[in-house]
Amino acid sequence: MKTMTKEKYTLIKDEVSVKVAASVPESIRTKRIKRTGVRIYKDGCLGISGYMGDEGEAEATKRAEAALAHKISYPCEPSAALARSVTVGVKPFTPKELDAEVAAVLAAFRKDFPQFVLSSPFIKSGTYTEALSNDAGLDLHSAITLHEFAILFKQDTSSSIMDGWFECAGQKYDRETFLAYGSQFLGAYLNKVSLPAGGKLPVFFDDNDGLVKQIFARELGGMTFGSGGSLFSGKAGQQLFNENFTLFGSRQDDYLPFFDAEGVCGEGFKYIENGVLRAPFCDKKTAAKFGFRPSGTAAASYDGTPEIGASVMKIKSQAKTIKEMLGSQPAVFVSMASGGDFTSEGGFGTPAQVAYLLQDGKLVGRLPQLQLSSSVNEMYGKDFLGVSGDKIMPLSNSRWLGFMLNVSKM
Amino acid sequence: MYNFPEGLYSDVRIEKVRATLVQYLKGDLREMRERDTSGAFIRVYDGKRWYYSSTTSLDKVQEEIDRLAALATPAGAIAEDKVVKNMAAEKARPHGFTGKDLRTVTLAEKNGFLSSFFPAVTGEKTITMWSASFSDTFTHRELYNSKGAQSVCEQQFCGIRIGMTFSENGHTFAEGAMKAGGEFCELAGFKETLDKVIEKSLDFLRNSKRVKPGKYTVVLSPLAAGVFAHESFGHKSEADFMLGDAAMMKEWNIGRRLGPDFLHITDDGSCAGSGFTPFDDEGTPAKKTTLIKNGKLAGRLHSAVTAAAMGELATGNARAVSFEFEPIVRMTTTHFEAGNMSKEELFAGVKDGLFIDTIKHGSGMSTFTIAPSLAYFIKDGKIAGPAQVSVISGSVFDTFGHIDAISDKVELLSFVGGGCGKMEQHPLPVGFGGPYVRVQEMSVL
Repeated sequence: MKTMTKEKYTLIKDEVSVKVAASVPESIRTKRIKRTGVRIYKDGCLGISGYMGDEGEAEATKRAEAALAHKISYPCEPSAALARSVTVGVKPFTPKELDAEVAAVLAAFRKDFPQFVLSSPFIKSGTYTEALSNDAGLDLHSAITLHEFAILFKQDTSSSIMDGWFECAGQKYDRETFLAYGSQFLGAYLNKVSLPAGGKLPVFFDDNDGLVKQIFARELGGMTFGSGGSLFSGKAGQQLFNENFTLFGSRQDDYLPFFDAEGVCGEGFKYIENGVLRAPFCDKKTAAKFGFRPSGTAAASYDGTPEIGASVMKIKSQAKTIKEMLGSQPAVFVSMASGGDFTSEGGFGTPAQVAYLLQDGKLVGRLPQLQLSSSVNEMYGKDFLGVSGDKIMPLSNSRWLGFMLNVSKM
Repeated sequence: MYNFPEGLYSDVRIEKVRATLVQYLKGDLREMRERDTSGAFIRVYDGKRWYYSSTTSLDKVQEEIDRLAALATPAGAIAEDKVVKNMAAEKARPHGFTGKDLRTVTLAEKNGFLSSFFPAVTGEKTITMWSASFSDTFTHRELYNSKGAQSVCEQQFCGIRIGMTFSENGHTFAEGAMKAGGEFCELAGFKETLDKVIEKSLDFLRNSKRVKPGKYTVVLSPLAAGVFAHESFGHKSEADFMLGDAAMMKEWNIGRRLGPDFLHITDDGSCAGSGFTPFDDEGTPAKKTTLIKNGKLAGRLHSAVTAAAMGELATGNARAVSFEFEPIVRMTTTHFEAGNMSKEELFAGVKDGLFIDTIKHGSGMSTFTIAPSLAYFIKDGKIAGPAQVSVISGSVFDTFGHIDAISDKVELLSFVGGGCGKMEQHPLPVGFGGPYVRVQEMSVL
């Protein structure tokens, strides 16, 4: 290792957001927050400090050098000799543009669906910049412009905080597409339908929903896995799940920079391939400790030590569309399932507060509140239906993820 | 201090924070840092719309006020606006913390204290993975508004947490031990807490059995009852969810019966602990708000904005998670008050049920949920072995009617490393706890 390497990690959030209450815009917020971390690598140790705003690098560098005295070990080489800059997305809305767009969207929904009260904690448009550079030749830069339109709705006769929601988050935005998507939810919500008979039914989620994947985020962490504390410890190379189930890392699909907090580019890293357990997710240090490969998922606060992060797990999609997957069979689409979890042994249970009947690839009616249950082995084994080739919403990256689950009315 | 524009209401919140974090992963030091941050949140209101900005450039606050003012439409009679009338107008006496300043405790002392608990963990061979952290924050907040209000408030909080994964014979179980308080000396006694958690976790690892899904009588510990009060009722008492919503207002009409006579729930920002909020982020001082009294709806939580809209008084619950966000209606320390029988009597009345001791997380909407960690079967009034439960849930509207016993002692709890999430603002420190609460007919998965 070189005697000393200095590295800078910069995060900039440049964002405008509109909050909606009682179906009208309530506030406009602008935000420009810049955070910079300075890392000093020396003799197998890492010292870090940081600052906010534009000024403070010299002082932060001194503090980072002093922090080497804490002897936080980092027995790995910092990433080096790679320069790449990626800018994605078109320019963000200005405050006035976003305000006008939100007003237009709300007016359209109010006209077509006067039965609903609409709100939104945030409708956002912004550019999120991350840069990682060091004096070993690393110079990575990412600027991602993202538009996030999230609408919560409730019927005007409802005494709930909210009855449901829909959103699109992506690099493109189109009013008509968003209105059509939202109208499908609102229209289906007004049509109460019964739960199809069967007990065990095809149940679909947005594949970005963390609920059904959280077992892997919990059990495939490199430290837990390598230490023997995971349900899956010692099972690498074994066929544990359905052969159509492949779990991989994709920062791109999650609208994240192409590099992680250590400068590792891990797009496509496979955790589970065709049902066979391949590898846990790791930062460099954990990978070195157990002989794993870094997965490109290290996370860090601007002034923090990089550590294992698991936010970018995707399930490989199939060629089939949702319509082809289901044929004429009705299915459940879970729009909101809050509070569920997997037990320490892999048992799964969750209420589904908002669920729709899915028929021919469309939401056609609102189901009663449901209880769903299964186990990780069954869900990703014999009961795994896969991920559709088509998207739930054309402007987002989410697809239909299905399982056969035990379903009952709450 | 600032030139607030005419015809508009404006306020500026300055926040300066010193935060310490010492963190180990399986005995390996991962973080040891002291972080100083500062930033400002600026609000401008023209009687119709709010305009917000957050910035880390404290020298540019005036520019931000002027920029937001340019977006707004000044109103001649802004002082007569109901919302503006509800905003603080006084120069409050500075509010300081009590006890030893956490900033004077060295990193080495904090690290040494944390490390002193490691032998208890490394001595237990079934603990295959563990993490340990000490964290503290010292927060200095200043608030200035165009009505002349000024307040300065300083708070501090610290805590220690050890998370452990136990593994044996192919079974795993994860649990944590935590202690938190306003002063370093309040963390004394953590060793006893840690030893108890290890003992309970080993029993759970070796002897727990999966519960059969169904409806059960459930006894909630003070921790679980606190989460239940927070998730099932607390969020629904936040008045911003009711604005412009006639159905919600009707449903949550003051005086409506929700549960038995011995049911009382309060929110109190003046309680010491992680929910302590002597002044909220609009400058309103803390107060105790009774949300349910004698089983009937008695109040709700307000910001100045929601109180004005509903013709009620601000309750000191306008809170922001940091200078990056606007204050919204949030809880402080929310809990059941003491009830109608002893803990022993409460358990004795359960023939076949479950006791939820600790939890992983909870959520609340029309249906609330709690994901238990340590849970136990109850048979004929006695604890009858550990139970694996994915989630317990119930309808918010129905569940209070199913409470049939509350114990007579309240235990309030504080936390570090997590908090309440609402919309995009997470984690906000809150306190909860309470007595033991018995609920009939709870759905268990």
